[in-house]
Amino acid sequence: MMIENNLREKILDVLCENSLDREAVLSGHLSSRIDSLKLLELIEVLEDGLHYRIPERELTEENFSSVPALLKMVDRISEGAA
Amino acid sequence: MDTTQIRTIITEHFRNSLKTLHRDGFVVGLSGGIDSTLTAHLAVEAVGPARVLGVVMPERESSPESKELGIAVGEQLGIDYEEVDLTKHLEAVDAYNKRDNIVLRYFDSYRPSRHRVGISLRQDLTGSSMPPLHYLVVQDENGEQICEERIRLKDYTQLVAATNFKQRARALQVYYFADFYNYAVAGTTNRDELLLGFFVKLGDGAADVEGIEGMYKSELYVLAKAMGVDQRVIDRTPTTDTLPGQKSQKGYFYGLDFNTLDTALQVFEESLSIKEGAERTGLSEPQMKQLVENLRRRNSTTTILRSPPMGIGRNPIAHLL
Repeated sequence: MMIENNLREKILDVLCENSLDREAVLSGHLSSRIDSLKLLELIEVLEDGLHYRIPERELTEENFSSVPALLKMVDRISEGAA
Repeated sequence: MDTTQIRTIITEHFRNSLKTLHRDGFVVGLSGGIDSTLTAHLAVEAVGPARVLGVVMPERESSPESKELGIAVGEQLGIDYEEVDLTKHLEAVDAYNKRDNIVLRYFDSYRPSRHRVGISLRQDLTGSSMPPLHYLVVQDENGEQICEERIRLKDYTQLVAATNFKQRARALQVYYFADFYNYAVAGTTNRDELLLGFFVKLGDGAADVEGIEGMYKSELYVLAKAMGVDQRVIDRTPTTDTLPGQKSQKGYFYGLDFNTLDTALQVFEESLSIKEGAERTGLSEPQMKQLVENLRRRNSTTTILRSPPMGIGRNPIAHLL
């Protein structure tokens, strides 16, 4: 849970342009917010937080569609790595 | 496609631009590719061979074919051309080492003399809204891929910064000659590159006059044929000649063939409907829609490349002065 909260904050740091953005990012679809550089940044934040390299098969549109989907992927990877 | 009219319009634009800019002729960097060759042909048609200078700029990693064809184009057109080897310049700014140090972080057996580096993009452009993922690719002497690693953001931006030295070194040279002869630099950016930001700001994007920026890549081939461009140039695989392992420009354009890409760009520019774009390419309408959305994002994220300096002007502060 701790990891998840930390990561959630870091994900929001990457994706939010300002504090008013947070709710929109948390509830919305991410496709319009992520370009290729943001995607690299996001993957790095997740990998650094997890101390684990995200497998290529997890880099899917579905997993990167929303913050909840990202956290779900993090959960799955953390459980697998544990 | 009315190539005669297009030639007339572009060459007239070239002549008018010289008058406006108070310059006497054109400098064109000759890479042996279709964009620069066609631009040189158009410049010659506009003002005659005596007022066009070609600049051929090899460096230690550029394809020998680029130099050979660049010179061949200069000779075919009967223009003067200068050959400037950029290797020393690039060594002086440490361009090769800066790049190689990044590659070594991914592949510790990397030896620049034996291996070639490239960047590949992975993206399902027609089926997914995921932006492309960038991979660092290393090939051996035989072109066999021996390393492919997803690149980290910091490394990617540093790699781009290091490789952009090449286009900027070329720009320095063409502007040197432009100033020397009181000529204008004829740019070689085509519409695909312009819309998708596949050029280097103040590098190959630096120019005084543009001739082919209104034409998609596939249209350039038709014009090139009509203008008698050397068949070897037409048949050549497009390359940016910046990373030695980047053999084709297609990789930069997400692996799309130019017909599909150009059709999608026409949909993006609203000169075709999604339905028409789908029919022309054999894609389904949802696929074409997704492709156009992905291209739209690429166009938006590369805005800085097409923007002049964002000046504030005098008005907002005039009353305070």
